[in-house]
Amino acid sequence: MLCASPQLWPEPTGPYTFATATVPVRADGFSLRVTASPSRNVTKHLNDAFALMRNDIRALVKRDGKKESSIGTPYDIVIRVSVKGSADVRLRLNTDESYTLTLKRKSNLIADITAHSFCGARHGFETLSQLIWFDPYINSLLTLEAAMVEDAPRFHYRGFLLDTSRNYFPVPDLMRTIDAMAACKMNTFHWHISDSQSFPLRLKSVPQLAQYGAYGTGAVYTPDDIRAIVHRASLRGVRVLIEVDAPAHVGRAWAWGPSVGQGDLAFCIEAEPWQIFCGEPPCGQLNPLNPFVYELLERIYSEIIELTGVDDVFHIGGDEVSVSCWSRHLKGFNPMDLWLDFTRRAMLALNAANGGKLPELTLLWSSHLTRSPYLKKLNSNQVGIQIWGASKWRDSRAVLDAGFRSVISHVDAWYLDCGFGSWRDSSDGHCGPYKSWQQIYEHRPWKKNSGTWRIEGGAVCQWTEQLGPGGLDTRVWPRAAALAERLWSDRTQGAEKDVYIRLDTQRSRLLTRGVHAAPLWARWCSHNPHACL
Amino acid sequence: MKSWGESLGRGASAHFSRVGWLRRALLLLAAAACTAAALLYWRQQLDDRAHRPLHNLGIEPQWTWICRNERCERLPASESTILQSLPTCNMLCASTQLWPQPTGPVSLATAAVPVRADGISLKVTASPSREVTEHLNDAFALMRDDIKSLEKTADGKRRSDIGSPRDILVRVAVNGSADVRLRLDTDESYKLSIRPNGYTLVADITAHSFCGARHGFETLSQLIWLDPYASSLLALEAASVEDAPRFHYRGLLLDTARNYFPVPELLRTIDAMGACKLNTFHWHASDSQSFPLRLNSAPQLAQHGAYGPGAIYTPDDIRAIVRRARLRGIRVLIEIDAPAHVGRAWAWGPAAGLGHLAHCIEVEPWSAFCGEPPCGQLNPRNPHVYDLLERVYTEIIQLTGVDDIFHIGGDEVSERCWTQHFNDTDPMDLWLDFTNRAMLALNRANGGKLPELTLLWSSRLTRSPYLERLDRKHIGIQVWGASRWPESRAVLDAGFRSIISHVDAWYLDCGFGSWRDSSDGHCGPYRSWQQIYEHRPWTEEAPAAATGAEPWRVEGGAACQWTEQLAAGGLDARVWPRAAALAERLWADRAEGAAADVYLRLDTQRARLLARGVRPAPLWPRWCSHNPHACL
Repeated sequence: MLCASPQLWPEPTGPYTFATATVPVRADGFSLRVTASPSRNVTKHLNDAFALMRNDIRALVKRDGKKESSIGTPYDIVIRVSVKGSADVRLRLNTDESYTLTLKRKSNLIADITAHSFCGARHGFETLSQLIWFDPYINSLLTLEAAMVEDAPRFHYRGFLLDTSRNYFPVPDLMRTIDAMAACKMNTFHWHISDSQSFPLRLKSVPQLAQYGAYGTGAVYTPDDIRAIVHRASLRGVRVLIEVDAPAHVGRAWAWGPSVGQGDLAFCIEAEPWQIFCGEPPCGQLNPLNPFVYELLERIYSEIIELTGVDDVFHIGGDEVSVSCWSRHLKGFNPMDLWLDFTRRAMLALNAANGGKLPELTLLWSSHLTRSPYLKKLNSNQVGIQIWGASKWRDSRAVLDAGFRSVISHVDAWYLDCGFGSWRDSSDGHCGPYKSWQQIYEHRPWKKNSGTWRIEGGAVCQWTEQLGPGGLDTRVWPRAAALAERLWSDRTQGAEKDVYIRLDTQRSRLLTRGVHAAPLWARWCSHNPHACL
Repeated sequence: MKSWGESLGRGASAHFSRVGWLRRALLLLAAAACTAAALLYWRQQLDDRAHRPLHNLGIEPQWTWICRNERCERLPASESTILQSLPTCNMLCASTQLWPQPTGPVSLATAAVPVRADGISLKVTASPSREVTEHLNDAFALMRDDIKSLEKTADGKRRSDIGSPRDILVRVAVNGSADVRLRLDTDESYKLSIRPNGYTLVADITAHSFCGARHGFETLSQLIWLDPYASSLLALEAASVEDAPRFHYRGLLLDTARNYFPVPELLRTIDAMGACKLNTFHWHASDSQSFPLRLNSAPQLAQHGAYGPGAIYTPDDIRAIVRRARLRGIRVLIEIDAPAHVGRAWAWGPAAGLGHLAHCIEVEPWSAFCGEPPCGQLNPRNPHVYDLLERVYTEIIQLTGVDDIFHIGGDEVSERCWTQHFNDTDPMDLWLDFTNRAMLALNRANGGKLPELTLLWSSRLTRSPYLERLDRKHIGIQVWGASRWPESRAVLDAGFRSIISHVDAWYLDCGFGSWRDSSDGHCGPYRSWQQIYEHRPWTEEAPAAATGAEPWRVEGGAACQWTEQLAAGGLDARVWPRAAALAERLWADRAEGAAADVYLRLDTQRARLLARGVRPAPLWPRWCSHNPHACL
């Protein structure tokens, strides 16, 4: 902490200065004073987020029974927070996440955090917590006696996608993941909650979906679960973006239409041979001509917006529609027209669900629909595109050139699931090799920006065909942290020495918070900084 | 889509028909004995259920599985009059669900009976020694704990309408070795038969060694499963299995030097190995990065070489690990790699007046003197080195009780390091001399005789013209080079006893990129479980008459988990189920590759590991488990 690099992750984008002298502190000596707040809700959130930070700091302490050393009485830290700006505690597309932090020593330590939003102030807490560490030799928490940081993110959408449909992840795994995201100042938990394999979301408005679609009891997210996750995320400055993919990537969850007199809600459900109707088993695709489908989508969208409180950005899916499925069942229609029409009607449902107006940004996955000649039929004022195609694909670039607001998730850089072979045969799998943290870090597709690109940010994607709860942390961390710094700081440098060392420090922070991040290297390399570089 | 699919499909169905026939044969027997009172299916009062309102908020999804055409098909419970859980369907439909697949004849009943963990008891009917009897009792207790932990995963109350649980009496007869240890010549075969006798199930296990009998326990435990709908354990009502491994060395290597793994992680790993009948825990305990082993005879090594307090294995830790491994039929093979792959642990020589025990310790630029930082190599001319090795070897043999096989390392020696310090001598001669003297130390450590098999890693030393100078009677070679490398084959052709660990098939650490730069890493891509399973290098032995080569002496193989990019917390999902794939390759060595039946059985084995607290990676989306064959 005192030698050369300021060990912050992500690296702040504004000026900073740090003292090289330390003072002892203790977790119980932290107190919060909200000196300015635009709303009672912001004040309450600041208090709750502060309590979470104090817990994180407590978790740093690894007492091994030794007595406190004689380095002097620990200082108390008074954190004075002033938020001038948004009265809304939620992360919005236009939320100003910048903050300033100053730390100085008087009779106590005084940490001043100023921000224009709750989320910005929370990032200030996070940075402050990174300036506090546990020294095992003197058996005490230490901090710097003075510091000054000005900071703001380069991109305002910094996401992590988790697929809870291919395999189910219990709520504590999601909570821990959100905590880890916040430790890296990521701000969007893109929850790919359903797919053709399962529908674990139990909605009050459409309970049939989980009833027919969940893997079973114990593999369901209840509305209370969602609320708890959203609450935690909100205190961590993270929006929960629930995606119920449609019209493809649906399954048994939609199989009950005929039995209740609503006709086929979906076609091709678990159809064989699956290779003809979808990219991986099982198949399934909504019936775009059934009006009940849109009524159900409206109910789903309403409940998601109500549960998450996110109404300025929404993800309606749109991934990998099978033309042959619709062709087979809806003869006489052009499937691409059906797809366009489905998208239009789904957005009408979203409009209705959102109280008569569309969210500022409705996201779709890049697909056949986001290629010419269909792309220009989409409304770039309303639709944004999450680009999962490879960065070298022309289609990936065309979306940007056409001026669509975009979230980057290039499969050749930011897919965390690649490189584990195929789960169906002995081949090397479809999207290998594995993307190392260095490759994730060094991917800067916006370098080629012609000036018209509107990149909102990016997201790493953890699809879970080959991942279960036990392997989550090690698969995701520290790789998602590498993306976090790319999107927050976007330093022009690649994975240079300083990055290894700071990321290694960040990994040890994650460990203290109970996240089993993979090691960057042999521990010897941590013990001998620079020797492995 | 895949050209091999059809031929493997045929192989699989041939297998099914064999098992199917045996099942039918046994079923007839069972029917004749009028013991088919087992409750398999619970008929549901579903008349109103079929028309229940869909807006019933409290209802959780529920499925039923029906065996049709030897496949379990999933249906909504509301659409069927039969409520059967997936595990029960799997156990009773077509495939044996045993892992590894037994090599002898198998016949399994298709009827199940309820049992409970507390109702299982042991009777040792024959035992060659008190020690064997004690070990049988303790191994039995472990098995019962495994079954108890399975029983505890039930989340409801036991259904009363399935009948009261039967007791299981396990009768074990060991006729053979009085030694409980796994030896190179241990006969691991066993026979298991289960049959109902009045209200009790009697499981007879016969074996020629403790280890064989223990494998019988393991197979028995695989015929017991938890039915989540009944919230009860079930067992097959009758079974007969004859089984013996194809290879007698079935290993997993874990490197605890690059990153440290706490003792509970090792114990859990050993338990998982036991569940798959792997039998050798190759513990790569030290390397140039750290030396976590605190030895009473050379405490300086950990003192100078461990990462710190909390990253040390004490003699008591090792004894606990060895004890657990022994009850699981596993030898603990501790490797202290030498003369290269050493580090700070050996830096204290000058201070103690022993001179340089090692050279090139943490020397820079490392790339000139070793394959990865930090460097370090023992001083082959310092007699104190061999004194220390003797002490280290003595204590390892004493702690592990393994004295018929030993691993002295021999991996990746840097000629340049030695050349820099001994410019008068050919470094290859130094290396040969070091190896001879290390083996003399081992000889002394082992009471004046060499272990039957002393293992070395394949290296430049195991290539011609040096290979010819190694003693084929005592030395075996663990071949880590790629299977296509000529020198990998040359070792086998020269008639050395060999353990296969081909980097291109059985290295579990590959495919995670480089930890030093942004390249793709040195040994990618990742080895999938299918690739591990399908690797059968011994099938490539050419007829000796044609080549003049010696017959191959493949002792077995080991999957290697090096840990530059792995630490506690990520261990299970990295190793399992891939090491299980190797386990079946080495135990059963079926000619088939990763055919449909293998996916399903391995998926079941993964569920068993989960129940034992191991967190293996999933093979696929859970949907594929719920819909057997649909993803194949």
